[in-house]
Amino acid sequence: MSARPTRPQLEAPDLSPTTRRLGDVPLKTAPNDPRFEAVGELETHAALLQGVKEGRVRVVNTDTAPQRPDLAAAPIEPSRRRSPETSLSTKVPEYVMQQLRRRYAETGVTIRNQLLFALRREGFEIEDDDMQDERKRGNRQ
Amino acid sequence: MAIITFAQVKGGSGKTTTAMCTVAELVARGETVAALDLDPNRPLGEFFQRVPELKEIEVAVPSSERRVSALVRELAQRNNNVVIDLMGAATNDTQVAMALADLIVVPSQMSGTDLKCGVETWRQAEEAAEISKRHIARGILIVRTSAGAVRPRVEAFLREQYTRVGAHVLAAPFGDRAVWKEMTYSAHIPHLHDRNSNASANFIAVFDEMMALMKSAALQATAA
Repeated sequence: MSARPTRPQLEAPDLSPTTRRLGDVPLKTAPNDPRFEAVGELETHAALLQGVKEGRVRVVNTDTAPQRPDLAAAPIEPSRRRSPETSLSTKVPEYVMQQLRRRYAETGVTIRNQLLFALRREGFEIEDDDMQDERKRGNRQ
Repeated sequence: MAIITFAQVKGGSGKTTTAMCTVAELVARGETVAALDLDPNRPLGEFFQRVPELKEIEVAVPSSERRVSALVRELAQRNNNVVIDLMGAATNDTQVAMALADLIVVPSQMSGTDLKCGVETWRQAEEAAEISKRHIARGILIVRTSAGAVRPRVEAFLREQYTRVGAHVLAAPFGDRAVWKEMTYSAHIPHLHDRNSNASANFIAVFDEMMALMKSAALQATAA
C-alpha cells in the first residue's frame, strides 16, 4: 500500500520593499532642483509674447509679467519727475482692459503710459519726464 | 516635500477654497507649509489671519522685483510644502506655477465652461511637465457636487468627458456644503476644528487621494 503523498510546505514570499520608501524622499525641495532652471524659459518676455500669440496667455499679470529685455537692461537714472504722482482708480469695459493688457504684452508699454500717451494726444500737458513709469525700476532677480 | 499648484483657467472653480483647505490639512498633520498667492484679490493671507492655527503661515505675493520661480524657491527652502493658488484666468503665471509643481490639482465644477477650461488647463499642465522634464502628478478634482451618497448624472458625464481627453479625475469629489461657503466668515475649518464631521471626512478623502497621487508619481519617477 503506497503512502499518501504529502502536500509541500507553504513558504512565505519575500515581502521586503522593492522600491524606494517614501520616507527617503527629501523633506524639502532643494534650491538647486532642476525645475527652477527649467522654468526660466517660461519667465521671459519672448515666452509671454508666444503665449499671447498662441492664446495660452489671455490675461497678463502685471505683477509678474517679464519686462522687455531692452527695458530691463536700461540703466537706472535718478527720478526727474516734475511732479509727485497720485493714484487714479477707475473702471473701463472689460474688452478695453483686455486690449490694454495685450498692448502691454506686445510692446512693454505699461497701461499707465498707454493712458498718458492717449491723454497727451488729446492735448493734456504731460512732461516727457513724467511719462517715465518708475514702478518697473530696478533689476529683476 | 511638495509644491502643490491649484490651477484652472476659469475663475470661481474652487481653487482658492481647495488651496485654503489643503494648507489647513497640512497644518493639521504637523507639516510646515507656505503659500504663494497669485490671485490679485489676495484672499489667502486675509483668511489665514483670521484662523489662529494658520496665523503664522507665510504667504508670499508677487512683485515686479521677484520672479515666481524665485519666490517659490525661497518658500521651499523654509518650508516642507508650498501651496500655489493661481489667478482664475490663463495668465503668464499659469504654466510657470505648474512647471514648478510636484502636484497640479485642477478643480472643476460641472458646467460646460468648467469642463472646457478644465481640459485647457489639463493640456497646459501636460506642456508644463514636458518643459520641466519631470513627471508631475496631476488630477482633476470635481467640486461642488452633491455631498450625499447619490451622485448626480452630470458628475458621471463630466468624469467621462475628462477621461475621454486622457485626464485623470480624482475618485473623491469635493462636496457642496454650506460649511465651505461659511468658512471665510466663520474661520471654522472642519478638518482643523471638527475632524469627526462629515465635511472633514470629505476633505480628508480628497487630501489623501492627492497625496497618494503624488507619492505614486514620485515612485514612478524613482523607478524610471
